[in-house]
Amino acid sequence: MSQLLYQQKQAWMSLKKKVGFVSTVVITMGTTLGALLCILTLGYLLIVEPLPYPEQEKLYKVNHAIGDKSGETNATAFTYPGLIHLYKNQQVFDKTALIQYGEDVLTSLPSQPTLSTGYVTPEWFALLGAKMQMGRSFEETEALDTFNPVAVISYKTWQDEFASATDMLDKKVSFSGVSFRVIGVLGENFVEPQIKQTGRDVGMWFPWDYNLDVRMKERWGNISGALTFVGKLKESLTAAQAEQILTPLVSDTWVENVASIPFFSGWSVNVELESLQTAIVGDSQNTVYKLLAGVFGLVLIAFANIANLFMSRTAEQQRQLAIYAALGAKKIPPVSWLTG
Amino acid sequence: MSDIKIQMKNISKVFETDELETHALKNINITINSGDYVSISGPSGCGKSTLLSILGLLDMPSGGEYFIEGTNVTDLSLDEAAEIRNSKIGFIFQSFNLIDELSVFDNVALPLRYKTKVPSEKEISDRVHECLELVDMSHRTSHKPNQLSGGQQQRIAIARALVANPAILLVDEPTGNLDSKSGDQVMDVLEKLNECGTTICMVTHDPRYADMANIQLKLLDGSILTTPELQEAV
Repeated sequence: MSQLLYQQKQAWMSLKKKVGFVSTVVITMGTTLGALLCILTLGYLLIVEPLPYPEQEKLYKVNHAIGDKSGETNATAFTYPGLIHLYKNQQVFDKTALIQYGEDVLTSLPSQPTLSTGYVTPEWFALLGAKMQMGRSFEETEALDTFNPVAVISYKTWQDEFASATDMLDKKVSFSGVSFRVIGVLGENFVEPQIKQTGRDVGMWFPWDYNLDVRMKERWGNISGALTFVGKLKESLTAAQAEQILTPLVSDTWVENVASIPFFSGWSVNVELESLQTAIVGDSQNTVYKLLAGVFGLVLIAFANIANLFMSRTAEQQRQLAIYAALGAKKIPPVSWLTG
Repeated sequence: MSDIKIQMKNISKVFETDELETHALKNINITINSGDYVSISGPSGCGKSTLLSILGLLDMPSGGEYFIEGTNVTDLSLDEAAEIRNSKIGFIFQSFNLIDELSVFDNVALPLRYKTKVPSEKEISDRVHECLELVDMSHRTSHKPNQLSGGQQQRIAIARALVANPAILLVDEPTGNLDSKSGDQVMDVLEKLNECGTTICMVTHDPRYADMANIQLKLLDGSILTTPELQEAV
């Protein structure tokens, strides 16, 4: 038996007699280090690597802030024509996508489940780097004003509503009287950005043309909170520069189109860019920093307590340590000194 | 190699506080040769324990020089002193000082486990059994110290002191915690060990046991009253 094994054995024999000491150390360290690990993991996920999307630092959600005469923001939501105007005329993003969220009944299934639906322009899945389980995502054939009745189904809906059918691409699904051909099933690892509402997972994706706000297509005076604009900012621009470019582009057109409505006299639009990370995780970063500070404090207190316990234990072992020293033990303690 | 095991030249020890200077030892000169049986006796407070602590490298002298088997050990680091204690000095204490949690075997084996080069388990086992034979305790290897009588515990302590083949055994009141019969048995063991060539330096109050030594030193107020002739190391 090696010396190390002997020391381990002696340490174990000794610790067995000090159940209270061992339990206190293990529980204290287990709890605090467990808490530290949880918060560090949370911090890593929210601060270091918050989103599972390629080039996430360039992804921005565009906010359309409508200000009244006094200059105060009255509402933050897009008008339908304003959103399309921005989508067609902007020059600051490499790639952009429009999203509209809704709910609809899948009438082609006997159970007729109500699903969360998403209506997007073709760039949406490319922006998020989505991988497909089968089939394809949207492309130019589903671009604006093509009215191509196709659908992309989420992995969960494919499993829950269609029992992971292998012939899914041969199926059609009906919503609001329109029959859509399924062209793809999203991969299991695709994580939908929770822009609108946490915990809301879209079950069925459709081309933008079928969105539920399409009735507002010509209404410059009406806003909808379901309309969302996401883009990947050009490398050469900062968010502030993009805001300066986009604000007149959007505001001037909007003011021009609502000029006939006296209510909007003196109003204007301010375009704000919010990083997708902030839009999704909000101010949780500050909470994480506070939690980190708290848990570090907790770990420090735990270390201090454990150090006190070890000092007490060493004091208790003074006689033994003196004997060991007399027999030739050196100053650097072997394992059995600490635990013995 | 010289047969001088221990040599102290003008060793002194002063304990200092802010207000007081206590001269515990003054100009101690001792030479202990191989095979000597030395007793140190004297009244309480005369410096016996201080002298034994310095002899055992548990304390440092304030002045003078100290040699063990020709090696100057006057000014060693803590680790160097521990190494010398382990290899050249065997301690036997009044209160036995065995580790209650360890078996007799493991108690005796302890000094071997602190060697710079730890022997193999077989070598440790052979040597431990050999030493337990010497003190007639080989039948108690698995017992814990608290399962043995005082006399038996002291014999185990003697075996532990012998196990690393030390240059000298430093014995501090070996019979202080024993009844007279057990005390006599322990003294018999020490006498036999000395007859077989073991060098012993013993501190004792008991004049009967002090007389068993072939060199008897009397300490008084930190000085030796009877000093054997100083021999120079070769």
